[in-house]
Amino acid sequence: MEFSLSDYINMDKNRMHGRKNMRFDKKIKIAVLGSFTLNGFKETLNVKCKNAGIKASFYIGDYRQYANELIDKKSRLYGFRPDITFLLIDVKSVLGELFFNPYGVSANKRMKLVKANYAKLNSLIIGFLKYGSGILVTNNFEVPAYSPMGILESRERFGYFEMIKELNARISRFNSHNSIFVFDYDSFASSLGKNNITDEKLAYLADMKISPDTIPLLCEEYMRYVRALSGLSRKCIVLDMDNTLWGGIVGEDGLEGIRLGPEPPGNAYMEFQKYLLALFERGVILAANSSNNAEDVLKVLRKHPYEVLRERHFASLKINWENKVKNLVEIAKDINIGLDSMIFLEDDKRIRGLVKAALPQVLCPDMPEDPSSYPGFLKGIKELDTLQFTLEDKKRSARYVAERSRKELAGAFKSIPEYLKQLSITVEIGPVDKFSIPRIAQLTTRTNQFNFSSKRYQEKEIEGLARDKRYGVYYVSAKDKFGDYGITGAIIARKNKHEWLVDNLLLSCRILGRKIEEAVLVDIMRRAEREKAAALRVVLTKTEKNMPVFNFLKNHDLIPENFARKNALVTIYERDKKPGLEGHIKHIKVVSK
Amino acid sequence: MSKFNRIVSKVLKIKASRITDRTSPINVKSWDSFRGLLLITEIEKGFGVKFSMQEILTIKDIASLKKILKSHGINPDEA
Repeated sequence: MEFSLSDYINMDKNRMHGRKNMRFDKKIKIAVLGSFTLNGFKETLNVKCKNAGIKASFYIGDYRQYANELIDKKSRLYGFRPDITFLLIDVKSVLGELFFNPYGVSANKRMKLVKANYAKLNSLIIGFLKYGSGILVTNNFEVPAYSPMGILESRERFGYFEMIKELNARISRFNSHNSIFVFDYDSFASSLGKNNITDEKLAYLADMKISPDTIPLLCEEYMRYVRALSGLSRKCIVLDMDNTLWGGIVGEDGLEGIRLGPEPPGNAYMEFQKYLLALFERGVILAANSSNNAEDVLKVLRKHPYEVLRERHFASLKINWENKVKNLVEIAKDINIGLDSMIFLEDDKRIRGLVKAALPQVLCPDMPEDPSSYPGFLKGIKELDTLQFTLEDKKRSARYVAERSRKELAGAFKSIPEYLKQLSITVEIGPVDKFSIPRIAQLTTRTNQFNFSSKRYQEKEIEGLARDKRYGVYYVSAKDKFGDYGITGAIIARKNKHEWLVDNLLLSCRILGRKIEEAVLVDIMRRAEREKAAALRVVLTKTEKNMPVFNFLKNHDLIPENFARKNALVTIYERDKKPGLEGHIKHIKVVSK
Repeated sequence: MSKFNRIVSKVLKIKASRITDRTSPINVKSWDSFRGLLLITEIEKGFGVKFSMQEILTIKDIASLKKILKSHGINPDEA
């Protein structure tokens, strides 16, 4: 439930608000600018930030001064150096007379005015891009619900509504700048009802264009940007099953007895699952936490005709009679994410109480009693936002599921070699190109454990080395029967006249322990031999984290057991000495390009 | 405490015992123009009435606010 604006103002004034001895891990500087009275925004955002563990400081622009502030390099706004700036403009103040009397001018003139107004807004954005800091969240405009043309409005060529929609279409182009985000104010207004978001009396009396009841709701939308910017978004939804994903208790009602399918109330559960699936498809990790016999639930996941979420959608399945708090901790460990990245959906109030008390980091919202409210409840969860979305993010949820499948397979085999054989690993090694170079540079900065020299490279440097005939720069990519790991390793070798010297060799920890390390070394040895290099040596530098490299070299007798040097050149092969690595990689298909 | 006093005390952050007919922006620091408007919207919500702009413009103190409520058929001093 949302508090009223006067509650927020009182909570903000009350310094003791919130938990005792509250510690703020995050700090943020927020600026708010607008075309009308912005009273109450600061107080509401401040309370919401406190509740999220963020210490916020504010700059609130003077009444209707937003344009001057954005184009003036020396404005107080820019002096404040905000992390995030909310710019709130209403369509009436921008369009002026045209808003009231759109048909006083021709369609051509309307188009001209739209272009001119867009240009004005664009100049503000350019000002921000030049002088501003952090990100800017601006809004599109509320498309009116009234037209002087009445029922003929939709017949008008470039009519009143279309004119504002066109302006909105242009405003959405601001999104092409990384630091500019367009908040869809028109959708926000629609969701509450355009007739409800303004208290006309207050608008006329005090130029408050958004009613006191609406301000907290708008601030909640703004908090999505604040949380995402502060790294407080969540990425995993843990689901209870009985009476959450379907009606009834599968252990008692059986596969046929649970409510799930086109008939009410099963249709509400089914739609709820469809919305969850849509979140999975955009990269939200799903996990299950259910008190049941595993075989009962698995039967539903595998056999129920209307079950939407299947085994392949869950990164972790904890279906047992353990307590659910323990299961949540296990799930976090299992998929290697923090408890503060998790949302737990559970219909049982008592269990929610236990989880909230034991694991306050887990977001455990109160689910509605009636399943018909489940879909709306899920849509109201505003904690899953990110400011960037890459293809890698989209695939994230699937990657976590593949990892579970691997672990399950590992558990089913008695010996590691047998397991590795079943994985059907393919490793591809080849010279880098313009597509792989950015990823290689990223890997050199992020990889710590299996990194021989831990030399970090910029993208430009990798480009230069790749062009240099005296160097060989190679990528390593890998996949197995459960999925593609993508590019997960790199080798940078100096091709000297008599011997090859590997400046760096690294592999992401995601693929370690599957003999891919050996396969990569074998491939690079073969390349060196093919080019008649008499020896292959690698630069080895000890860091705090690259112990796995030393263990690897010791296991293959490439360095002695008591090796203690911090820097060394390690010989992989010389004329009379060659390591027997081939025997280890019979299960791997190596594609050498 | 009357519903009226409860709302005034909550919005203006003053003790209910301090509220008199003469309570006004002059003697209550927190009663600025913005809080004044919030007070009116909370009173409207609390009693299920809507004031006109003209009525709001005449509000100078608690007495005038009560007078308007009375003209809407509401006794603000009722519990």
